[in-house]
Amino acid sequence: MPEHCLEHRRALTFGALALGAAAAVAAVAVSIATGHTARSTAVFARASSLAASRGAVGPGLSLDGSTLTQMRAGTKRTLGTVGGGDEVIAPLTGSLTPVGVTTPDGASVVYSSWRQLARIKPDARGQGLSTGDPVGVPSVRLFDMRSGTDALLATGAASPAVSSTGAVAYLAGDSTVVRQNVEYMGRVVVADSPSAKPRVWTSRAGRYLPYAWAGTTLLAYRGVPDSEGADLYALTGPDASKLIAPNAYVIAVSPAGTEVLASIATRMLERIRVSDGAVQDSLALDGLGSPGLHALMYSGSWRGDRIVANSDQGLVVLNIRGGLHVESHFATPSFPHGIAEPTFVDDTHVQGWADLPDPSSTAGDVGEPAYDNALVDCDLAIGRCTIGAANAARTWTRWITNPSR
Amino acid sequence: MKSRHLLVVALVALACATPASADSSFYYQRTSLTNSIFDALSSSGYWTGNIRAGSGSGTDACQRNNWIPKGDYAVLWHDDNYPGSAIQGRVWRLSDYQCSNGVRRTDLFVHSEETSGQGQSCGPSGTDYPFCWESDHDYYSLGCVKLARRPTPSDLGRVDNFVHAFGMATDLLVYS
Repeated sequence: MPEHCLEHRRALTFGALALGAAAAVAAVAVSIATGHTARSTAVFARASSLAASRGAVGPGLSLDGSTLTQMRAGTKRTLGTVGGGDEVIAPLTGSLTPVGVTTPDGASVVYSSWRQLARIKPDARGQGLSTGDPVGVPSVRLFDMRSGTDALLATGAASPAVSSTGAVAYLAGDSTVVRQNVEYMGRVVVADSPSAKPRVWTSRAGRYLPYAWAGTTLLAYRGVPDSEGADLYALTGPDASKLIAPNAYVIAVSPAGTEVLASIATRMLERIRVSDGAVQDSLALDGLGSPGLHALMYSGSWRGDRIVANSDQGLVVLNIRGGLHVESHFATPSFPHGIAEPTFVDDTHVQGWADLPDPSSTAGDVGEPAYDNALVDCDLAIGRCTIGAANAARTWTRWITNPSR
Repeated sequence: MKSRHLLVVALVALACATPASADSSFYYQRTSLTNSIFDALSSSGYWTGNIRAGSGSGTDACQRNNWIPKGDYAVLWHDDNYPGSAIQGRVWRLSDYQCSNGVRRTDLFVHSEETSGQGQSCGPSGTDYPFCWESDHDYYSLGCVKLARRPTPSDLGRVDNFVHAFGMATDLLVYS
């Protein structure tokens, strides 16, 4: 090897060692400051506020009403029209489960759609509906990004989840029609691929809502009667299921898919092993001190030791290293309901969506007002968010990822 | 003498019949997750007064488990000894609600934490028992409106006694 190359390598080696030493010093400093061993390189403020301004968001795959788009370098490329004439929304789940998820090859999106049947009168008693009135029809559809084609997978279906091997799970309703004041019951079905015939995994009907896969285990909610609450089950095959957390919802699935962080009865957080439901760690929300947390919301994300979740106090970053604890809290004054479905895209960036301020009242100001929604892209290290274009409340804009591991 | 007796009987019957034909409305002024105001007003003008109540675990009304959306809900039915798995005792079932973003809120009730026999099923401290009213944390819910059920006073009992005396609730207006 030539001498100058050796010198160059020595210099590089020295530089790398110096950087490593600096990083180690920084990590120790963080460790001392937080009282926990830091492995993540990015340092977040313990408590701060996220500033927000309009701009280009992304990169990423996203839903924009009935259009699937790819954001890249500030430009937006339309991939195709989705929904087949239905709205691309998920009325049965909201943000409890994703409206759509990518397949593992990145070539398709499996998603929920909805055909509204009832005319809602937002200011009337009972919204003008009577028990048994048809409200709408949920469906599960697939968009192939290579061919640009859109296809119906199932009518009377909801809450699709796609595994890392391409298996597709969803709720197959006993009825195609959702009716007012009537529970929407059905069975979880699983197909090995979008084109395969689905098999029934829960032979008894229930208010099931698949959330995500953890390897070959399907994490699914089963609604508790007389409640919006649900029990969290691990399904491993036809009529093979295990209750892993009662009265719970998933905040995030671990990167390896071996654990979930779940909210139990809203006041307790638990790290739960998927294979047997064993509780690995827990954190009570009562007595956390200022600013106090009423609850952490579902559908956050987990990267390394960190978990990010929405709350009515803003974004919360939890850390599992040295025991589950709240590492950072980011107030989100620009967003009336915080940042929903926050997802780490790297060590510092989080993408999600948000309701925007200044909602529109209903005609008689009796019903809940309507908030526009927009994609949001935040850098937690510098405390800034970018807000994408605003859509009307019923025209959903969402990042399309996949919480399955 | 006989006609006077008949008149008294008729007046008593009328007095007893009046509450049965009357009804009540519930009102919930949504200002806080655990410290909002609930009241009931009968069509004959009687009022419970303001009662503390709570709803939800978050303030995004158009997402599941958050506080109840604004609106005029029909009270579908009432039971004094409901034997459900999640809620029991004195409950009022509310109509489903579809938000402006399309999300449906379902399985909404006005209730508290008591057994189907209107009792308390409590255990050692440190655990939140679903049919035991332990503390103000019990005002949190997954969307339902919750009233306190303490031995004295029992806000739930106060509301239940009111509707049985002055007329069953027909609707709940949630406003802010």
